[in-house]
Amino acid sequence: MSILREKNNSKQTLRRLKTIESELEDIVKALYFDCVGHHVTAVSCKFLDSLDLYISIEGSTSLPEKFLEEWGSTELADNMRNAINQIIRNKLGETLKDELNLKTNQISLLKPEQPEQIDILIDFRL
Amino acid sequence: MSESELLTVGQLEREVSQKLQALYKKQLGHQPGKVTCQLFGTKLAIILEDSVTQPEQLLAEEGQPDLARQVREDLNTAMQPQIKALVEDILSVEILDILSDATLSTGRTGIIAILSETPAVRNPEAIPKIKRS
Repeated sequence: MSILREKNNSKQTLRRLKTIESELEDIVKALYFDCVGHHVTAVSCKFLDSLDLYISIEGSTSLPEKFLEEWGSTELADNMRNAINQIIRNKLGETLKDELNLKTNQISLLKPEQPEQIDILIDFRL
Repeated sequence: MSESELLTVGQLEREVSQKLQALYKKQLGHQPGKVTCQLFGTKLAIILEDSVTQPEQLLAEEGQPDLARQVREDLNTAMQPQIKALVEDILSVEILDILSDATLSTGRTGIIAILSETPAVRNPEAIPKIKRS
């Protein structure tokens, strides 16, 4: 997507980026539901000045994970969480390419600020 | 409880099936597709179809079968006390032992409960393998 290859702060570019952010929020919500069968509470997507994309997914913990945690299988619930996050990360890269023709350079999972949250940083520089 | 107030064996089995479906939905966010419940004297056999949750299926399909199996094993173990309490409450008999296992590839879960005695029902002759004096 050419808009991500050039740094341009025109109003039109900023509006276009906002539109992409909004489309991405819907795509991420749908991807999470398709994969995990769980409606997340909120998704926010924001292009940074560097044009890296920051995605925050709130309320991402599915009921089986919560149930295991409450039961005392904390380590297994953590392993499950980490594995699901990695799968979502990989599928997100494929989805961005297929649905928005956005090729990613690197998708990093960040240390989440809150429990039940996934924070992702996407670098599009190729 | 007089005999006329007792439920039939079919009604008891249906109640166990329906309440188990509701329990799975509440705890795991996933309702099994079909639950078959059959009483054999002092044993109760339950089969839950489509019982594997979507996160487990995702793990199994995306190269984490061992983790998916471990999750299923722990979920089964964690569910057992609630299943036991539910069945005991409906059948009004004690459960001496409960065994369960699941197959991820088919999504089936099987549960066998060993009861302290045959539950009182309106039509005991309809229970297979009941010991008649």
